[in-house]
Amino acid sequence: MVWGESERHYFNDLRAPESVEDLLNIERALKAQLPVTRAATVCLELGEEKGSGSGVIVSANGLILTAAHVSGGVNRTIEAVMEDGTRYPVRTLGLISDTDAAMAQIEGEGPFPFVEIDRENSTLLGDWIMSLGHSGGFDEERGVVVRLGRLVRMASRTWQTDGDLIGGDSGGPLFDLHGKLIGIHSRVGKVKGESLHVPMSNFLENWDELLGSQFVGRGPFAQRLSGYLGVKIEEDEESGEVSITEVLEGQAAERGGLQAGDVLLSLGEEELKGSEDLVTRLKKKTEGDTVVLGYRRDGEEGEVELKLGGHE
Amino acid sequence: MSKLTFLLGAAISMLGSVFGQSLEGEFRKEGREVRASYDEITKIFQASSAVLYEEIARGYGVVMSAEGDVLVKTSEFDLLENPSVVVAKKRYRDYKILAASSEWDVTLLRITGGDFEPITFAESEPSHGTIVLSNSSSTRLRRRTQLGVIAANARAVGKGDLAVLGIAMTQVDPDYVRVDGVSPLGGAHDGGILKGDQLLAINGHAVTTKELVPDLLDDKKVGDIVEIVVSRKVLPEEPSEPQEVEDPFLFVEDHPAEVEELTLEAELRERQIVFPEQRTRNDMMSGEFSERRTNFPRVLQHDTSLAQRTVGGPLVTLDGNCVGMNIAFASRECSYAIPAKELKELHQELLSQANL
Repeated sequence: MVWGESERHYFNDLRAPESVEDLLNIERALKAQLPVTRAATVCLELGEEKGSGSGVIVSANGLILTAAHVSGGVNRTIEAVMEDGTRYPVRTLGLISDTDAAMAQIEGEGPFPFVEIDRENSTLLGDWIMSLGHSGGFDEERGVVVRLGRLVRMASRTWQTDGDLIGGDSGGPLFDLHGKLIGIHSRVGKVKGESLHVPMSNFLENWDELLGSQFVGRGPFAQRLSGYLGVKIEEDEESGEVSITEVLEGQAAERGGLQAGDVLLSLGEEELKGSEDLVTRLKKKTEGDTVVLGYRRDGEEGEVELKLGGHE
Repeated sequence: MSKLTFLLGAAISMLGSVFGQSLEGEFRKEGREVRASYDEITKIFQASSAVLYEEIARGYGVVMSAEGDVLVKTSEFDLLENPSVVVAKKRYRDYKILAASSEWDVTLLRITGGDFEPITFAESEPSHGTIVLSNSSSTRLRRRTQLGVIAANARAVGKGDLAVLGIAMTQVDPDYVRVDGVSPLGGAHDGGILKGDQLLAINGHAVTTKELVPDLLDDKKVGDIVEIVVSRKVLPEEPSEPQEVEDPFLFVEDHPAEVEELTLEAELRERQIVFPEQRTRNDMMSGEFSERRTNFPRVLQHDTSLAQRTVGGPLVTLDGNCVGMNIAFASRECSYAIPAKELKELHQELLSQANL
């Protein structure tokens, strides 16, 4: 049997499958979507002792959707592992801290395998779904794990399915049986068969904020950290001027183009009054905030606008 | 560390319950209406899966032959004092334990006094995404089944080398392997091996690197005895009188640090017993998992929702053929089955072990 691209599977409109033949059609649909959906499902490793989650690639240039409690913050560097074991550095973009949605970007040469997002919000209660993820962490021999279930509860910002998830699946993709991405795994209930997901609509409504590396909301899935520039500084004893002695790799200052030797003159509208002043004022900022820094390099003054990272 | 805690907190709590519309229980994956669609396959479980019964159903088995051969999971079967075996609607108290495999954690029983319908095996292995059915809870008269899919690639799980000495080793120098820890539950401990001993030889083969030890035990089974030669520093007896020596170096030359070479015997034991598993966060999310859930030479992974008491039965595809035997409820979303190919070979192996 062949279904049109946008047509609904007939078995989704049955209250329950009526025969083994109906189940075989569910199986055929799921199997047809597995190769593409598996290839786009990544393990996200957060660094030593911080565990891992999952994510899914949604564009050929490596845009990833995941959970906020996996990405953990804005502008952080984590690592993506493809099903074949290839690793890429990933920079986290924005997140919605009160629904558990997040975006990240692979920093590597594409094209990457990716899946399509269901932009029509065409999923209905009772539809058959499949959950993918790197359950319990990356395992090359095992590969990506798939589980079958139905969509059993729907609210505007949370969906529940009866496929089972476990630690490591967080941030992984929920698909309909056309292989369209319909949600991201967030958390599970205390009993088996209760899995909660962030629906795609929540990502689509906040797409610009996510892409723009904004930290949206007040938790509970991610906490804002105080602003972090990523430089080592010294203060001239006589003039009180603050200069950069070292620019830390991969942090905000480096991305903004600041260099060792630059003398920092102002933060925002106000002039800097020594190194303590800089530290105090940065602490009042949070990760993801944009700041303008005035500086002097080789006698010439300039300004740079940069987005602060976070510091634990 | 704070992130790990939060990951844990977020993962096991229902943060923000879901309101809105909800699908009634009978239409969910494991609900009554969905089960009704594969009722004809449940009949196969009625005929060809066995129930280990002790007050309630405690485990399952696969009916392998018309003669009444039934394979069950050893580590769950051994926990029962006096189980009866139910096949179809009949209860059997009369059965023999023919043989067991510690490698696969499987015991072969033979039931007498009935007509048995063996399970039919599939010709090929099910691919990723294939729908499969497993035993669910059952009464003495009726089997119930539940549905899932093949969830991942077939593979070996665990560290293999099931039979272990129960020691931890350090490579001190090239050619110098030192025992750095001795599990109190292992055969090495009972054989007299001590922390600090240098391993010289196992069964006559020199031990030069610690990586060599698993290789030397590769063909051994649980219960085998191995001969181990160690070198051990002899603690000097308390000198009664301080010895007066004019040239202190003379003393050293005359009395090198004393070592003795000992030949000891140690029994190999099951890794699971010698090194009990640590429970991880994911285990705590999973409830009562199987007694033994790792160290299988090859498994199919699926997501039918087993419990400790529902392992042992057949794994069946929608064409009614058996593709494996459920051998472990490994975690909340992960169950393992011995693939049909290995299961058939194992049955033959156990029959020949029993001289049948």
